Amino acid sequence: MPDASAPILCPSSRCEEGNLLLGLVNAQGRIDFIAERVQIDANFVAQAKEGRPPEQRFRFSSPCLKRGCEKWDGERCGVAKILHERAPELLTQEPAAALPRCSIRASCRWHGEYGDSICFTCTWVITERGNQLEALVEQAQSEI
Amino acid sequence: MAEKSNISANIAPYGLAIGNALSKSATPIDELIALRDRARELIGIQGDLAAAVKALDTEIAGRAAAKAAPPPADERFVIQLDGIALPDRTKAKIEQSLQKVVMAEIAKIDTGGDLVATPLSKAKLMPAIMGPHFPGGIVMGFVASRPL
Repeated sequence: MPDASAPILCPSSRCEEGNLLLGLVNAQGRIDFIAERVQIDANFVAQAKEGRPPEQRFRFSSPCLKRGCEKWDGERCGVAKILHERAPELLTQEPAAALPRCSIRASCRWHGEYGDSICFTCTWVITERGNQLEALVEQAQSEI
Repeated sequence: MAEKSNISANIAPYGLAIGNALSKSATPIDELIALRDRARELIGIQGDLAAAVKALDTEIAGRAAAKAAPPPADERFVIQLDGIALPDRTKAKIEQSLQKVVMAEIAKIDTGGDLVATPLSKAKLMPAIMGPHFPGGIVMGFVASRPL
């Protein structure tokens, strides 16, 4: 039973002190979720920012700001809405697949709005994609 | 009517047959109609082939990515000290230090997975899916799992 007083959490937030580390982007471009809640401190933030942007390598969570976030569409999370609408055409949902373990599901904004189905899509979400490679490929293709 | 069907069945509807028929003013209209009907019939049989190929591409990409994912794994770090009793303060300090080391190493991880093409990236669904930034939550452990 979720705690009604607990804040609703955004599952795609920034690398900032006090936020939760949700998971790591694996080599296949999917998220390896951490099963339990891990709060990041200033040391983690400093260390992570020494490399490429942390939001390209990890997923973080923090309380949903609703109207304070540019992705809020007035009634719900605009990101979750797009993922929910487009996922069926983009992803194969294996019927027997178990839900990924997740430390925030009970408080998650996306799960609260769309239920378990969005958890499968969520494993593919990278907060900020490094698009240098894609840009290079697109450039090379346009030059052929 | 039977004659029309025979003509349409025996002539390839594309390329030379249609080209020849169109280039000759003497081509009977029946032959033109038969060619058109045969071409329509073939298009009908194919259905929306372009959409079907696109759907297959998406399905294949999704399955290949799912297959490539390694099996779920948990990582645990255990130090076992038998025969000595440590004061609570020392145990707390050790736990804190271990946590610091583990987090520092995790912070350096960069698999490059964000540069890999995935079903969502191909659809250009994400750049910059950024949310808010306020603190919350508590530290409870270091058990990591990969998606199924």
